Amino acid sequence: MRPFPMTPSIFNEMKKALLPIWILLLLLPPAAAQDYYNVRKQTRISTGLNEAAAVPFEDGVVYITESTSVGASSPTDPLGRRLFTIFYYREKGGVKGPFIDALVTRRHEGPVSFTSDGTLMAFSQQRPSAANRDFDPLGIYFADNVEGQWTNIRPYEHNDPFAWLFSPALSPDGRTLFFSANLPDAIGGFDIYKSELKGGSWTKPENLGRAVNTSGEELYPFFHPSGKLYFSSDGHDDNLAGYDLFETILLNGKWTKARKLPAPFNTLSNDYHVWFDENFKSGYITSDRGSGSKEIFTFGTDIPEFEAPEPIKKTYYKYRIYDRKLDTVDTDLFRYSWLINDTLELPGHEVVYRFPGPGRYVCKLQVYDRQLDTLVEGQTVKTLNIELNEQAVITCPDTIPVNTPVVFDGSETHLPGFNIGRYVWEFGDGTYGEGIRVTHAYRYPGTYRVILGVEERKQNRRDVPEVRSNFRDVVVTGSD
Amino acid sequence: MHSKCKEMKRKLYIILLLSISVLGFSQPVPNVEENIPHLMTFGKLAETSWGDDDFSQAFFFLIPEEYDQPFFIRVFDPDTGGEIDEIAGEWNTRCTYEVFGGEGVWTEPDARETHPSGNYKSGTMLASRAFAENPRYDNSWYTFGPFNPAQGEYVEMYQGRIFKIICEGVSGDDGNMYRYFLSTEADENRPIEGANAFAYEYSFRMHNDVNEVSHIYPYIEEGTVTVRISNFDWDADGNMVVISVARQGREVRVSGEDHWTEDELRILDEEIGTSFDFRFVKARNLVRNNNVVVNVRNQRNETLPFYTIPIGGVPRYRGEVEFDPID
Repeated sequence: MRPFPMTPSIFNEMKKALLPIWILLLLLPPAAAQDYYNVRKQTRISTGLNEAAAVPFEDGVVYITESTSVGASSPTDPLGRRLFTIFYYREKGGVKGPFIDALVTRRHEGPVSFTSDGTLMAFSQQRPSAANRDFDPLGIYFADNVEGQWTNIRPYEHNDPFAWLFSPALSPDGRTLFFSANLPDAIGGFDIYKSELKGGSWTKPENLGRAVNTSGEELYPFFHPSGKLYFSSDGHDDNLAGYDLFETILLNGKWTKARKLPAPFNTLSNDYHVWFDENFKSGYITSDRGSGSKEIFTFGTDIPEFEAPEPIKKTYYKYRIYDRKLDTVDTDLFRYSWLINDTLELPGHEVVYRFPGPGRYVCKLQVYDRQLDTLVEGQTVKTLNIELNEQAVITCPDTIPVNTPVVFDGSETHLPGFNIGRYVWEFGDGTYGEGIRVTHAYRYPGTYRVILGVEERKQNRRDVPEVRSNFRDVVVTGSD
Repeated sequence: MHSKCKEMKRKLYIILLLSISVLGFSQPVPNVEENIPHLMTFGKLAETSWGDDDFSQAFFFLIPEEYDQPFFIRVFDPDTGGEIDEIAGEWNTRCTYEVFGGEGVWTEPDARETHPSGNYKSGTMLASRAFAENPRYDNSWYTFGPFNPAQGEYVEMYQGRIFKIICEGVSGDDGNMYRYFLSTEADENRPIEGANAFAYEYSFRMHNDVNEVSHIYPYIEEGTVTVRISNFDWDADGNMVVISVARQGREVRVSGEDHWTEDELRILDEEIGTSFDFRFVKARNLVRNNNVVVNVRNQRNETLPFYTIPIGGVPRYRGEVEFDPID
């Protein structure tokens, strides 16, 4: 049974030895890098020791740290390892300290997870157990936020005195719990488990199976409101760089095969934990990139906010043209045709015609009287005005097979007088793009809202550019 | 109260239409736009297979109330003989022309019926004259009048006074072909501004030239839901097409020899308060001297008038173009 997860030193050695291979692998990336993210170390938190598993709370961030400045009476556990303690860093004033003083003990605490409304917290904590005198098991506990005070601390009913259950991740509604544990049915060292709150009780932990879990270790789950589950693993086939971050999603009752996240979430170093905001525009990463110890990084994008994008209005060129009032069509007496701009004659009382482009088209019903051998004096006429809608235009297929690269083209955008600086794409699956044409592959079936935002060119550095945005929905088909 | 309002509304509507449309000067009957060569009345001993169902034809003249000068009703070729009329054996037909004015000339319901029965000669007779074969009046005019407009029946709905002339074949079996003109002068045809003429049954002769196209213009009054179009003795001579502001051209059934045929149309909202154009195109295999009778009734079996100057003008179909986009 493995202890609380620490980066094995052997991995560091292996990584150095395999550096050339990793460079080669970088040339063949498993997924397109998401280079619209900028990542920077959260220096206000970093201490040079290990900090990990940051999640936002109120106006700050809650994380775990080995810092000796926590005020704990002893910085190490009985095995000499530094204790992890739950810390809170408040942006306002840059103050940091124990999140809840009462939780500071001489054992490991954390990480934590909150429901979206912040009223429920799940956290892991090492507590003595009468059933196991050999080591203090790490279990999961819950606490309620009552007027700012965390009370009613209670254990998860499936804590195991002989196992370590840690890094809980609550669903936004608090009714599903994911965590990492070395329970007896684990495939590897630590596996990801799921438990659901039903009728006031938590269901027995369910191992997520081999699509997620491996003979290695799967740690630090994070469940995003989109339904994606993120975690860190060192056991997946293509994972030669220690711990990397993966994602999976429950489709048709099954977890899809874990997919490795692209750069900048994964690096050649160990990447342990990720937290995304709802729109995947910002978040936190725990990684030992650049230093060898776990550190917290923040990431964000300069993708603008698309405020109330409108659906794309299609410009139609093909029309069925008819006279709504023409109740009797008598081809024995009359011959009907449509005259377009006095130049083109289309036979029939009802015609389908594709107009060549934007413009004004005078469409007149011509009725030729066969008996009188003359044209009937006609007043059935109307002008069709085809004009391009002023909008950002997305050209792409309506239906896209899963895992198939597709070009999304914004070149038909029609915004006269709008000095376009850049084209920014939101694909609806948590990914973004930039450019007039971008290629994107959806990884999971479903319906996605694609937004194209067109940003005005800045005249001055401090200008806040105007953004016009429109969207269309695409359907991604096929099995994962 | 409600029906009174409705009636008033109807009247105002017609007045408005008349004031808009009856600004013409032409009171020839048939009118130029109708392109009908002659009215037709046979002697009462004629076979109906010659084309006249009842040997009688009534026409009403409307004199606008602003007009207060004497006027005349002139009849072209009033006799029955000579080159225009239709002989059956030998000329033996006498036709009477009777002009009526006064109370009830139009408001009497029998006056607006298609068949000469009951009090159809309502009102006060102002003038009458019988004509047999008479070379003096063959292919020339006879003038009734002068009449004082005040002698007509004032009808508020029309804002004018109404006179009536009935031509009847009182003896013989020949066909009398004739025309009228409402004139300000006794010896020439000078129209009265704003006047009109109408009938509830049109008995007329078709052209002999197959290229000539004739029209008559029934008026669709408010409250009309359906119309029943009846025609007599068409001899299957070509076709009748109904044209309106909402109908580009709808063929209706025409009769054969010596019988009536009916067809029914549902009236569209847009057609209320407008005229229909009944267009008659002759068949290419010429039927000579074809005499026909046409009348129109609404769903209440009330007759609808044919105005020689169509109310609202000659209807022109105006469609509504739709563009349905296609992906």
